[in-house]
Amino acid sequence: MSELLHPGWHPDADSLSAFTEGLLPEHERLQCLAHLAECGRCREVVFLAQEPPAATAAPAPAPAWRRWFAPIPVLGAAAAAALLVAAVSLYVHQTPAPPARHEIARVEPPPQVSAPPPAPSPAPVIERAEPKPRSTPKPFTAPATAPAAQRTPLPQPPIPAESADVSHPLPLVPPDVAIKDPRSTADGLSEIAGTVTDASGAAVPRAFVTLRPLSGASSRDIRTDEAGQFKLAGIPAGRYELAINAPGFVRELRQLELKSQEVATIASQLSVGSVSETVEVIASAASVQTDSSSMARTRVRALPSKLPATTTVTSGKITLAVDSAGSLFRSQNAGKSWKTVKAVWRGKVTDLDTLPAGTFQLTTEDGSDWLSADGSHWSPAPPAR
Amino acid sequence: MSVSPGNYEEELKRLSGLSIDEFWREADAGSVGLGKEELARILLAIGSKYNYGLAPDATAGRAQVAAFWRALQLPDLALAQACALGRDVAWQQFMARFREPLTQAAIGIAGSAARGQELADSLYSEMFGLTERDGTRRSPLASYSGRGSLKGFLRATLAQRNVDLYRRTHREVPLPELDFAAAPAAAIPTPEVLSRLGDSVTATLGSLSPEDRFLLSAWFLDQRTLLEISRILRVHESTVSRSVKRLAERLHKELLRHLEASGMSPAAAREALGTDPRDLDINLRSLLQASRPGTFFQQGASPQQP
Repeated sequence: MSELLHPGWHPDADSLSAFTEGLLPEHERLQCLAHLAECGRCREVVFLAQEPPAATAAPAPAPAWRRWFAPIPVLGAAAAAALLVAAVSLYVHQTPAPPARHEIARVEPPPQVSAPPPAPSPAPVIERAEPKPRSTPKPFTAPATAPAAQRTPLPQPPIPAESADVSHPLPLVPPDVAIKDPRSTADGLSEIAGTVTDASGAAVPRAFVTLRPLSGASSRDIRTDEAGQFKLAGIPAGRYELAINAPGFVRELRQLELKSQEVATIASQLSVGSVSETVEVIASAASVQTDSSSMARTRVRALPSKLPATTTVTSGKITLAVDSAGSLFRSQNAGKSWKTVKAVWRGKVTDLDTLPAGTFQLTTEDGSDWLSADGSHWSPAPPAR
Repeated sequence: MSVSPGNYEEELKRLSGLSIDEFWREADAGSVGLGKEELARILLAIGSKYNYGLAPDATAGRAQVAAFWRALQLPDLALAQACALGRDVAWQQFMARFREPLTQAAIGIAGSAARGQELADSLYSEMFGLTERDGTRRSPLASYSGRGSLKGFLRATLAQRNVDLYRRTHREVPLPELDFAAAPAAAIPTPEVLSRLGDSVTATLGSLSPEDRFLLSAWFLDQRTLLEISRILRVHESTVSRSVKRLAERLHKELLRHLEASGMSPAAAREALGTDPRDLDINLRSLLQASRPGTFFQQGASPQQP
């Protein structure tokens, strides 16, 4: 059975491309379809003229340390061993120094919130910690065993399948988190350590912790260990945004200001509901306010999609939430009721944030950014200059 | 459209209530060397050609005219038309924006780097308007209306050239030697049954809507995948799958109904449907693709490429 060339008139490239892009008026679309049903040549043209399906997202580049060490495991192990030897050497040979006694952190409530929370709720606690005496000669293994002894096996919360994605592995905190990176004090750098738990107090393992300098683009990622603990060391002084994200929980965002030689200990309690708050951690403050009763808190009722919210942000009276399927929802009554925001973008929403001016910003899975002042009407973010 | 040169801007304002300045700025036509009068002439020609997006028998009001022009991809339109008019500054922009994507698209369409490069190069020369027609240089870019994206237009043009080239050079292809299965041992139906069955198939396929016929052609004749069809029809793959299944069931019922209407008993009709298709003296491809006069509008249509 051979097909002869179809004689007569054919739609031109202009009509076929508009048909392929779904931009023809209905009467022309039907005429085009009728012709395409008859004409194998034009059918082939429209199938060829389609944009190829979007390629699957390229895997994120591995962190720098992984790029260095992954290709040559032997070199990585050797480097780790050298680091270990250097750490021991520093512990042994450092001159004892009087422990510095300065304040580490202060928790400041957001200035715009004055009402107390409606109910007692797990508030993020940032503890003040005195810098460890860097020169205290103690056995190398002692700090490592102490935290390990404190870790009790906790029931792991159910983690959605997507969290099992191993395509972008992040470094897990080693069990001996109390081993202090000598550089953090010797070089005047700071560190952040913390524990991530859920509302019942159970540890949240493998939660994503991202520390991003407010003035820079490069960020550091880490995942909590089985005890929900994490530690980021060797951090230069400055202002940072700390994001804690775990599948099925609301992402928590904090802004930190670290000065040199500080150790900030963070206790974060993630909620399945919505918590949108900003915690200012200012080092060297005179007083510590651990009372978080004035934190803004938003209780999220079930989203229309019946899926858990992964990210929730609030600006003014508007609250936006992204569910685990990447759909966006908007609430004007602090999460009591939600409306689905019609997507003008393609793909899932992967990130949601507020800009300093109160503008909402979202990022889609293809990396495009969108801005909105009211959460309903979105427009593409202008390209970065 | 009978507008004398020099009056295009006034005519555009009369039809839409809008000034050409607005379109000219939005199209950034100045950057590609296109004047306001030229842009007004182009917009009027496109609006008239497509009746401002309305059905041929409808009359467009001011708001509809303005909405049609505003919905056009004006920067792409200005660029393409300026290129067709031979403006150097437009060509520089065109090459900067589309040279690489066009080459990549050609390679994807042709299936090989060498053929794709050749296809893209031939299209460049064609786009420049080297083809002499009635003593004037014509560029395919002049036929771009701005209803879709210029990139999509270029892809469609590439696809047309590739298909025409392939068909011109592969018109006669030997059939692969297939070892057909032996015919079933069942008795061959009588010529009368075969005739009724052929009539029923013809009538049933002829009663389908354009979308159903397209679906059958793409699925059964072209062996397209659900994904490919779903992207053309802008529905989900599962919708296409369900549609194909429903369509097959509907065809079965319609055939039975036609056969019974022709005087066959239900049992005989069901038996006739079990006939080996190779005994039928019909060509399903030609039935599905039966050309019916007037199925495609003449506006915007082009004759078969040689």
